Amino acid sequence: MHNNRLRAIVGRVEDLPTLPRTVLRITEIINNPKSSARDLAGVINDDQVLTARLLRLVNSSFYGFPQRIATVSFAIVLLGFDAIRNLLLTTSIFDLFNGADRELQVEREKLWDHSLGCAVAAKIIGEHLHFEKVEELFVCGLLHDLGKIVEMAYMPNDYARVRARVKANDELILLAEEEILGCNHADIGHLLAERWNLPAPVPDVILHHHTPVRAGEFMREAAAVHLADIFCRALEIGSGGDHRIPALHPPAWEILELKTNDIEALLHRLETEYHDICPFIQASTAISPSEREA
Amino acid sequence: MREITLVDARSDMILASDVLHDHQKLLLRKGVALNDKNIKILKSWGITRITVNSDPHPEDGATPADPVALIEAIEDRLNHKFGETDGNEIHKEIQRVATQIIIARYHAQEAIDAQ
Repeated sequence: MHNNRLRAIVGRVEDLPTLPRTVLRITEIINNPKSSARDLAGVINDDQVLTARLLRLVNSSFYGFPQRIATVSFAIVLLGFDAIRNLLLTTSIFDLFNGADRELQVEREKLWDHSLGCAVAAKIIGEHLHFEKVEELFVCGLLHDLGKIVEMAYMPNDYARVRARVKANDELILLAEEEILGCNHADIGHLLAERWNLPAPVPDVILHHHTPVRAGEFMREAAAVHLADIFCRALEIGSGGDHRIPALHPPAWEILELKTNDIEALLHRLETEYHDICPFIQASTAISPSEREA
Repeated sequence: MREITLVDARSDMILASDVLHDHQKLLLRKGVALNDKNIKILKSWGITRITVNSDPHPEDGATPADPVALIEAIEDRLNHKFGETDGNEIHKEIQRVATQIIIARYHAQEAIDAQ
């Protein structure tokens, strides 16, 4: 393993991104079985941006509730703790995909599209296979390439070399990272997910989304995200940073117990649901200056 | 004539040179006026920089690249992306369905634009 190289890289990265303090606090509350809906509502209500995003989302056509939901407490009762946490993570992570470097902005936007596509695809695969917690699959899909964001934002010189190698050799970004960095985006993303104390199975799925058989008890979740990644690349939803599609990890197909004739329906659902949710997620995360100042 | 990033591209800017994918496949011809649709297409092809001029009007006779060529390019591109996995039945099925969906996506967009 390349732990020493990884530690050296992380040591050079002085300011790894942090999640907003409120989201960290919310994660703590949700992970604590003694917490109540009132505890959670109290923390969210203290953050106007999160409150605005949450209420906009639950009042959107995506959820389709027949009446207007005016309070955070009511939203928590309707959606449940896990859905609220995942929703807040989603909207917070979107902010990481914005940066000052205009040269990389197109690439960041395409990575966001790819990540959102993987989130939708993982959820669809999970629903098809009757996974118990499809919401967490959505988050795993959204965050599977978190390491690439770290590379873009915090290791620009290394990332430029990775990009140059991908372009010159027309190879998978994973291979270029291994050669140049001595580790890959899955290692880096996993490290950040652990620092953020993200709930299981997110860190393990990030680490093993290219090799799901190594994900231990979270093998099925990792296999779902692995396949979701391939689906999104095939449908050209955003870009993961290269022009290749990684080979399907053979055990992943066996782990999921899918049939070849399931593929057509899954891909058509992905095409429809991604384009339904895409403008909505972006609209729900874009908070106007007046809302920020509210 | 000036080179700009695609982020800075705006509707009605005029392309000062052909936009090629991987220096081979013609995506848009010199003289075409940019609009939201073709900027989006360039973005989807991974184009990051283009050259534009300051003339607000497209050159006479300038046309976008042939839509048939775009469809062929989709098939070529997916073949290339899946190249190393030839022979795998699961990959073949994903590629078959994906090709259909992407082609349908372009047709649907054209129908919307025609209305």
